[in-house]
Amino acid sequence: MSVTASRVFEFLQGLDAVIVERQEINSAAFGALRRSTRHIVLRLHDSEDQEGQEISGQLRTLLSEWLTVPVPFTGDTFDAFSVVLGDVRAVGARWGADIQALYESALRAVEQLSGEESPMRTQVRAAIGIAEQQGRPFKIFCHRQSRRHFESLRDSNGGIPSAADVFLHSVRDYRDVSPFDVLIKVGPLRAHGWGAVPDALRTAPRFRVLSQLVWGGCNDDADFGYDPASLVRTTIGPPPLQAVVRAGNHNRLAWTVRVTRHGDDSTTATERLPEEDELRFFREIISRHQGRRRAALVQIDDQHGVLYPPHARVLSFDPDPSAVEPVSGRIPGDTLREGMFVILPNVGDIDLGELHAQHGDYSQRWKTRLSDELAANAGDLVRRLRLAGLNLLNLRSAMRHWCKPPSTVIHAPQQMKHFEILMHTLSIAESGAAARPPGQGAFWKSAWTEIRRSRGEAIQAGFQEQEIVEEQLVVICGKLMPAIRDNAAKRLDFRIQIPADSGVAGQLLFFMVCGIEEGLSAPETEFRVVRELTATDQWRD
Amino acid sequence: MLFSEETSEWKQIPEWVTFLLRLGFGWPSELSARRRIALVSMPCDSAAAGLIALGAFIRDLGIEGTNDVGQHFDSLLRYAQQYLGRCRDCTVRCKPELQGCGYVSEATGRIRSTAKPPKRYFVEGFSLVDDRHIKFRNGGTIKLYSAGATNYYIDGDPPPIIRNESGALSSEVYAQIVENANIRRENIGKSYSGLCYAGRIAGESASRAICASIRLKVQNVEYRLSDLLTIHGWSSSTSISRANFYNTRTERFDREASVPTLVVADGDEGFLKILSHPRFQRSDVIGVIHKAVDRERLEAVGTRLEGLRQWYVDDLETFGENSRPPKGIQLLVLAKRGA
Repeated sequence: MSVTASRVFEFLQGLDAVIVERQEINSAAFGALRRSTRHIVLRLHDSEDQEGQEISGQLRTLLSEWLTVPVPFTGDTFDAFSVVLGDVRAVGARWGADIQALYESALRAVEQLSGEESPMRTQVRAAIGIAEQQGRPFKIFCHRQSRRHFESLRDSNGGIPSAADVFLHSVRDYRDVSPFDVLIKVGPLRAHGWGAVPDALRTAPRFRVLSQLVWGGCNDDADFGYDPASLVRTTIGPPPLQAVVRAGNHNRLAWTVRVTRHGDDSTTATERLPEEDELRFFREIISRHQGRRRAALVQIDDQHGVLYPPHARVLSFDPDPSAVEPVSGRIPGDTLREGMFVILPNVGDIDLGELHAQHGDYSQRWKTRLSDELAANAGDLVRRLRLAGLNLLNLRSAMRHWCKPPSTVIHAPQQMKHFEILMHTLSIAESGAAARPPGQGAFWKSAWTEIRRSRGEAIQAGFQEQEIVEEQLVVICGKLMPAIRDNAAKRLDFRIQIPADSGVAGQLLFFMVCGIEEGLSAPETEFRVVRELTATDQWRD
Repeated sequence: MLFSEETSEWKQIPEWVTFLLRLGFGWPSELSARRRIALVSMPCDSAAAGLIALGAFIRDLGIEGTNDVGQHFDSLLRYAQQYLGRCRDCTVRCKPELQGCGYVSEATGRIRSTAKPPKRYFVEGFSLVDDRHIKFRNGGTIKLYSAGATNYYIDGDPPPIIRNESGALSSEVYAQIVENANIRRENIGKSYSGLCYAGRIAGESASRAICASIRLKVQNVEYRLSDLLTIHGWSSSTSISRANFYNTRTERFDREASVPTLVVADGDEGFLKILSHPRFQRSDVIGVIHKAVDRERLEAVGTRLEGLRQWYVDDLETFGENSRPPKGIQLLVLAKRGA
């Protein structure tokens, strides 16, 4: 408990009202980019074509980030947009003239915006400057991955202090923070998805002023500030903010909202259309999808994370020597905390030959071949892959990514069928046959198993109940404790072979937890495997 | 009386502490058909559940008959029956949920005497008809009847009564914690299981630690909340216990006891577990949650309460001034309809 209850209550007692200084920012060019992107997202989403869905998801992610993070209007930011869609004519040929027209409109907006200072960044810098000038302690609530965009606001006049304690990234951070003066938040107040913040910002403020900066049209969630103890009989959720302001008696906290609007007026009548709330709009189209569950993202380094269902008991190791049960099932965000290690078991493989392969043995071979072919004739390789049925639009950049050496995971296509096409096109199956140990299957299958294993996908042949496996693993970990502690003291991730006489065959993968984020929503197949954060971003709506 | 939290300086009792103590103290004491369920949402991590439990604890000290003495012999009989009928020959040590035996914890057959020096006995027989008795041995065999039951207690449980004044609770201390509290002398030396503190999902150590962070100074003597609650094994000053502990992590009780009249649950997950637990279906429940948790967890609590509303109505007005918490605390009280 880093802040005492008495300290929090003393602060609340002295608080007459929380001031919300809401800055609404408009930009004609950015508005045009938003509209075009929104329409492309919707049309591709409705195409019911897997590739279209993927591109729609990627664009959704990009626009959601732009709306909730003070990204600079630079090539780096907008390049991602072109990378997703690729060549304008190819888009027209693949998706039709209307998508092409929207794409061209978006690109014109991008051209207009590139190199300009984002008005959002201007206002965030101003908000920080005012807090500093007035000597008021401030915090910034943002996603861990967004922090660099705030830190890059530093200029010759100062800016964000580099001290880590300026930033709040999670419910836990907020729970532990001592009261302060100003909270800076970019984007609407939402409980889930992009730009999500804890409901406690409204129900249990630890600040006097909320400096909120939003793009025009982005509204707070109507039910933000949820407290089950303040339920009214007919509805779930607290009264809206205005009602809370009126209900300032009964020892309730009062809120006062001041809205300031910023923006250019160099727009035509068409461009001055009121902005839509894309974040809400995206949530609505996502909610049409069935089969998703709420998820918590356990981040294991700056590029990778593992999704778990809510309240999942995650097999984990606490390196604290005083921990009573160093290895046990813990709940992300509750008993599972940063600095602990999640344990992903790869158990039950029947093929011991494959099990003993070292991390990256197979990938080394196919990655070398892929790099060679890309260097020799990338265009021809792309053509052959497309002919074989690998139709990813950003194939060339994807292949460059797959060539990267194994790190936490082995970078490779997400889908098995794509990987199989890649291996056949590289003819690596045939050339590798002689080197395979007798009795093993095709090279690509072994290589795919290696990729899956690097992602922590549990192969549970022979086991019906994951819980039974985990109970055994807790016992096994107890016997391996010296080796686990030794590794944990030196590395952020490591793997340990399960002793052959333990009754379970396989490996244990350990990853140190460096962040936990709740409020995502993902399909069942995405749980308990290591994914790149760029892939998990799509489950944040 | 002075107050301190963790290592902070001593000061007057703050408003939020007074509110929580009085909420527990003013809670209706009778186990009645009009069951009540309350939710207290806190703006920060705190020992709020422990403070409410302490208020209810002091309330119970002032009520006649709030002790386990009257039911003690029946408890010993049930224990002997469980041990000889089930646990002695059971192959599972000890997972009642796996065995499906209907019991919540193992009966080891061990009995202790309250006399000094304490001695351990082993159950070897019992009778439930006419001449109701329990037989146990340690060297010779003892036949125990109802009249002498308080001289013995189940090994691992608190004794029902203490034999000398030195182990009794201090009525002066408890009387000062809540204004106008009336402490009955006959209660300060007897255990009671009518109040249950359901700890944090992180386990007993975490629950004890948060209670130990609250200190009260009465007549220049310092007391920790964890001691004042007299949960079995937490207090060094007395062997009796007037609040039983339910470990929401392991889902185990600290003793075999009858249904509590009031359960104070620390945390959203504990609150939900208690509301679903068959043993607590007639008990009043006060849940204490932290507002700064994931939305999903808040909604799980809200949905559960919304589901209860077909049988329950708002009942805040019953609590008068206690229904007006200080800034930052939200209180919801539901009472069963039509009773």
